[in-house]
Parts: sequence; C-alpha cells; structure tokens
Amino acid sequence: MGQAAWVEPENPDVTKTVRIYCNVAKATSASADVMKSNPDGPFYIWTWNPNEARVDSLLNGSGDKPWKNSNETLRMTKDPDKGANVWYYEMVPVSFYGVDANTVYAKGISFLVKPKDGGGYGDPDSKTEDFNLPITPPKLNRGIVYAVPGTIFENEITSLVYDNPQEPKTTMQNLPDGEAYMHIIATIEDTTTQVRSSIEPAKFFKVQENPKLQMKKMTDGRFKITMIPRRFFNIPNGSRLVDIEATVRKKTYNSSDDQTNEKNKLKAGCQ
Amino acid sequence: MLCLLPFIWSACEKPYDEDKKIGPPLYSSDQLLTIISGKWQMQTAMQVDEKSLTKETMDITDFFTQEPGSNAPSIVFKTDYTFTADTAGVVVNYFGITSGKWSFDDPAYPTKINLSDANNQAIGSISIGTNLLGANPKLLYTKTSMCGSDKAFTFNIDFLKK
Repeated sequence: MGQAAWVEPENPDVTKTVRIYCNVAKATSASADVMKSNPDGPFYIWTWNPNEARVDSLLNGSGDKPWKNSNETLRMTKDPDKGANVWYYEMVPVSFYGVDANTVYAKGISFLVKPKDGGGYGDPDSKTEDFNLPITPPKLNRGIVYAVPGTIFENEITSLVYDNPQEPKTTMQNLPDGEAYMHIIATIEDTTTQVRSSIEPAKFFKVQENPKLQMKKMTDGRFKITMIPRRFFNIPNGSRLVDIEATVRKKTYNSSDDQTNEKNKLKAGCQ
Repeated sequence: MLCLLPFIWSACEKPYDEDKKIGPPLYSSDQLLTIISGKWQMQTAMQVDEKSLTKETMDITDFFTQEPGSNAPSIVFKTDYTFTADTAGVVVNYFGITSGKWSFDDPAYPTKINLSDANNQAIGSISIGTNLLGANPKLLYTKTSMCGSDKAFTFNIDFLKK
C-alpha cells in the first residue's frame, strides 16, 4: 500500500459497511513519529466530517480533555495482512455520522488517527495528519440509455437519458445539440385481456422527422427527452405501460456507426 | 410572597436560555397577507430520484414551457384566503384543483401555507422557502410519489412572486 489513508471498497455504498484504513507507517506528520515506532497501538479514529455532532456514544472523546481520552467505541482494528502498522475502523457511514448518503458523497470523510491519549494541553501532540478522503459512489450499472428517476410511472414526468459522455463507441462520441434522436417503442398491455401491443412514435429510419424524438443536450453533455409517458405515447384508456425500449441514433444516419450499440428496455412501475 | 414569584422565577433562568427564546413576530398578520397575496409563478422544477444513493436530480423546468403556448404553473393567493391555480396551457397542475382555500400553519411565525379544497379537505402545503421580506421571496412546493412505503421520486417546484 503506497498511501496513508483509504476506504474499502474503493467506491462504497455508504449505506453498507465500509472500512476506513490508515497505514500509520506512511503518515507524514512529525506528530505521528511516536505512533510509527509503536505498531502495537492501540489507535483510535478521530473524525469530524461529514458530521462531528454525532450521538454521544460515537463522539470522538469524552471528559474535560477529550483529546486525551478517545472513545473506546472508536478503537481501530489492526490489519497485519495489509502491513505492520495498518489499522482500520469499520462503520456504516450513514448510521455512524447520522447523515444521508448524498451528504457523505458530497463532503467526503475527514479523520486522523491517534493513541487514546493524543497529548495536547501542554504535552506534545500524538496524531497523524488530517486525512480528507473523497468518497465516490459505486458506478451505476445502468448502461448509457436509462431513465431518471429510475422508477417510471406512466402518469408522471420522467426523463429518458442518453449518457453521451460515457459512450464507448467512438463514432457516437461528443455529439452536438440537435444531433441525437431517440428511437422508442412502448409496450402496453390491455388491462382486461392482458394482450400486449407496441406503440412506436416513429420507425427507426424516420425518427429525425418527429421533433418529439429529438433529444435535448444538457450542460453535462448528456441528452434527454422529458415526457409523461401516457401522453407521449397516447396510451389508450384500458391499457397500461409495461416498458419502454430505447436506443439513440444520429440525425443523419448512413450506417450502424451512427447509432449507439445499446438498446435498453426500461420497465414501468415499482421494481 | 406571590408577588415575588415572577422575580424569583426570572432569577433562576440560565443565561443561555435567553438564546432559545423566540422573538416577537417581524411583521403583522396584515403585512404577511400583503406579501403572500398575488400571483406566484414556477421558477424551477427539479425531480429527485429518491431511490438513488446520490439523490440524482433532474432539472425538468424546461418541460413545462417547451411546447408552444404552454405556461409555467402558477398560483394566485387572494386576501380572502382563497386561491386559484392557473391551468391554461399548464402541462401539469400539481395542486390537483383549480381553486380552494389557504391558511398559514402558524399565523405569527408561518413556515408553510396549507391548501384545502372547497370542502376543507387538505390537498397539500407549500413551504415558505426564504424570508418573505427578502428581495425574492420564494415558495417551495414538494410532491413525492411512492412505491409502497418507500419514496420513489420527489418534485421540488420553486415559485417566485410576479
């Protein structure tokens, strides 16, 4: 391990268990020198970000001089498989910090590692430097054609998105505004007979003739079509939306180079 | 002795309790009514995916005005504590009804405006987003769609006074 601090897994779901690691031997602060020569510890995590005002049982320290009295609940565990002086603290970040997942991803996690008595109050400090770890959410396995929100209700607004910045096909990358068209087929079901049928606003080679199928480029480079499916597809009374199949092509189509390889079926309703 | 009780009580208060006292209202009920009355029009509309870890948010403001002849949602509060919601050219009327009654949740310290229909059935509420005396007082309407007991997505719609 070449770094002094990291989290595992690398792109964690912070609503699940995460390990926050520190390789004390790699700390750069002079105030950590004593800790480097004491690989037996014990050491404690002292963390203030994304939230320091936690429940009493998870505060960093206690008493009149909390810096000299780290919380036993925040005692770290040694991980000899990763190094002679490597320690981790295991937590579910949203529970530990008492914040939602989005806050953890927005603020990251800041902490240092110290012995139970961190010195101070006239004594020399004993601690690592501050570590500020950005926390990146897990990569979503939703492809490059998807709906936002992920739940589609036929009578509510939904946006079908083409994530052009993530497009692996070189001939489809960096499309300008006005160049992306979506070919969409809605599957509907008669609620009485359960017979299914399709609604296709335009055939694949005709989509550029239907302005409703032109995607709008967003500031982040993605494209979208926002709709209320029931109105967009003119779904008749007595039928319900089952799914939407979507793919994207260029306005001018000469060959398969001008379409994304991805064709996704997006299910309607609660999954 | 009874006459002294208020003074004794006061003397026992801790200094830091003073900070927790709520001050007098900044404005009278009439002033509040003047500020609220009039037309409030949608400024922005955001849709939040509540199932997403990062609460992925999509700006859907343009959806309300992209069609020719379409109008952004608006609501008119009247001084007789009734309201009307314009529906002409409006893609979605989130209030569900075109007219009804309104009231503050707290007349002295309002944080939201409660809406009800003609039969006094509650239909929702609008939060008072920023200081009403500020340059751009804002109202925030929130509506959440559910999957069973779980939130699926939420609409956050800001209204500015016209």
